[in-house]
Amino acid sequence: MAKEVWHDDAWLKLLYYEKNGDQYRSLVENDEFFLYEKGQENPKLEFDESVRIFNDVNSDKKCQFPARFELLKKMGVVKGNLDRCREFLQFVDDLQAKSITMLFTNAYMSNPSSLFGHTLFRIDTLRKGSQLLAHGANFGADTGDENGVLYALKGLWGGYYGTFGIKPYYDVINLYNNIENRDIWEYELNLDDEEKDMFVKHIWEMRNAKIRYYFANQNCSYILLLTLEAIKPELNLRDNFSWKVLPIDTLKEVNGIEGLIKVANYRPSRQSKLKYRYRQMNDEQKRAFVKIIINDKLDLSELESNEKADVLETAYQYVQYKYVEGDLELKDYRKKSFKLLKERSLIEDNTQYFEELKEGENPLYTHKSKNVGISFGAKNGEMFQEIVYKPSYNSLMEDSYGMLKGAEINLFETKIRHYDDKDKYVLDEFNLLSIKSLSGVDVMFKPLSYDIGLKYKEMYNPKNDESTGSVILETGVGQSYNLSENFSMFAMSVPNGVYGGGLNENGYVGFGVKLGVYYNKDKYRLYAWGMKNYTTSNEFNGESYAIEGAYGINRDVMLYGGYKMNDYKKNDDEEFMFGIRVGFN
Amino acid sequence: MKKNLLLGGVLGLVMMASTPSFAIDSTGGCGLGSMAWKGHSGIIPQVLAMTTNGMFLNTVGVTLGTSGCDPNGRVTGGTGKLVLAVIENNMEQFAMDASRGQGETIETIAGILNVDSKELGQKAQQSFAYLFVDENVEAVDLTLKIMELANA
Repeated sequence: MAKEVWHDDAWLKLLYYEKNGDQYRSLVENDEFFLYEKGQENPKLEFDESVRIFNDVNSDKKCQFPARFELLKKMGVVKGNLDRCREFLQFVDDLQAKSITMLFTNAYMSNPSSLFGHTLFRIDTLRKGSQLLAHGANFGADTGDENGVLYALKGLWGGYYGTFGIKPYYDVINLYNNIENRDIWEYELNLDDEEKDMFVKHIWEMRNAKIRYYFANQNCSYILLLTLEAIKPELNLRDNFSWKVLPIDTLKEVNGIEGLIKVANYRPSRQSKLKYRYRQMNDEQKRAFVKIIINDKLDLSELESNEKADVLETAYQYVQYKYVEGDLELKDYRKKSFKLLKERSLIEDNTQYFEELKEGENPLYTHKSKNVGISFGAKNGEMFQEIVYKPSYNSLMEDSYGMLKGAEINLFETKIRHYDDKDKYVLDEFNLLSIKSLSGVDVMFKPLSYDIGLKYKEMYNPKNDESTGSVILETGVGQSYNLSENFSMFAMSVPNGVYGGGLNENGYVGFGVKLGVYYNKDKYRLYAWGMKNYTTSNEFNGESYAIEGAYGINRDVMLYGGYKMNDYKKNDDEEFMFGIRVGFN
Repeated sequence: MKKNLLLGGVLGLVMMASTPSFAIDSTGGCGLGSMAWKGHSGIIPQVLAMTTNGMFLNTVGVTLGTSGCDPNGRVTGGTGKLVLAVIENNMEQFAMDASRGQGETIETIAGILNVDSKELGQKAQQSFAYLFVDENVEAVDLTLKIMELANA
């Protein structure tokens, strides 16, 4: 039997059909997206009906689905043009599309839903001037005002619909760069004119499409891959993803198609710019800057005119930052902003003392988000071998290139051990989540440091000198201080709790005081801490110490070693190990 | 991919959500510019009434209703409306660019008005006190002034 036209990938992908056994079903759920009544389940009849309707000169349906029309025209089964589609042509005219760019915004630790970054498209504009007048095309869940647990549960099980939305690029910049302080990376895609044209038409026809949104896998980044496939059907980007889709991994997948990403451009967040600008300042500039932002005193007498300009501009940007953070009243904000800029405008010397921040650490070249490892060690004199699997996404021991500094987002890390003496395999640890942020405070920024972890672990029980499966929750909050650019110390209070059937009274509740240091530069990483824990169970009162170190052979392979010690009243619990970890996609 | 939904679901529960919700819309309104310096105004009609050079003539209807923020989320309209949209939604960046005589917003406005951006930047810096008389500025007022400068 000859292959029918509707079987064409171009058709199936354009309407988001996925095959399950013999059945096709489109991810788009709303009826208005289809011309045939049951089009969601029937690509063939949808095809036939589309051909019929698009050939009907009295129907303007093709104006709603110009990409579909264009494809069928290319296949030679419909005739006509889109000349009378006024609204659509206005859309094309507003966009003035020049090229298509994929955007990646990095992690945002203040919002659990943005920990993994985000991807969206930009439709670059031909308009003269700059790309401020381009448009962002975003696929996101329409969650309304819901928040918290209901929001999480609904997001998980597909309780929300995702839709495409369009915004001027300056709004995108304001949101990510200036409000959420996240860097934006712009990756221009290498598409030919026909593909670009299809992209614009396709975004138009997707404007009312509703797709079920699953936070873990069928999310913004996954749908963006399907959108690329829709306009360039020979691509196969979706196959490598199953139960979780991280935005960074989809970006790397796109980059894996040779030549698809043309150029990368970095658009730093306001916070990145401020940090960079402060680092560039000489001592006199720093003094003058601190006087402005801390003491509210404008004294630039010691500075050259171009040095002044930098200080004033940086101070102005800091005022904007403080206002967005809610630390400044509108009235004060306006007064300070105006004062600084008025002063700045009087300096005619526009040869800046230092250059604007242009270079960043490209997320394309960050370490791979999964890794596996094997290690050897001893726990209280018993030798063991351990296999570890870390499915996502980043730990303190890994190469920090392109990652948020001092941040760990580690989910589902699993460790299985074999103990020699008993010749027994045990699930030593299942780390449901570990989220850390050890970002140091400085003269401008006062971030909270935190360390939140929930895991199952074989825990040493000093009562009977045995280990027993327990659930451990730790919620540390405190502050970090930078000793140098890559070296920080931190202090935290750590409310904690342990539940385990094998423990006295089934566990305890504790309050720990933790001090530690963290270093991560190029190949070398070190994380060491000590904690004094006061617990409801007398025998667990005591001090704990840990030191972990790693040496990166390259970005994805590292040698690792660690020592841990729990100094309990009655017994000590001691463990050391060393091993190797290898990242993979 | 559906077969792994359970696993994916658990992952998602843990992380609350792997991607922002409708992120672009989360601020409401039209970006940061609209939060801060923008003076909401009933004075648009007055300014327009005073304008005799017809600068806004072809955009009156649109400007009145939406004031630079298009309901479809698009950059649209004639030069006057475009400049107003850029200034209104990028006020804090524009103010800084004006004070130093260069920057992305100046380039954008110069592009819309089809004038040299270096020249426009110089003019904006020299006329900063005229553009920003005090800390209370109004986007429409500023738009009229910058267009006047550009044509001067």
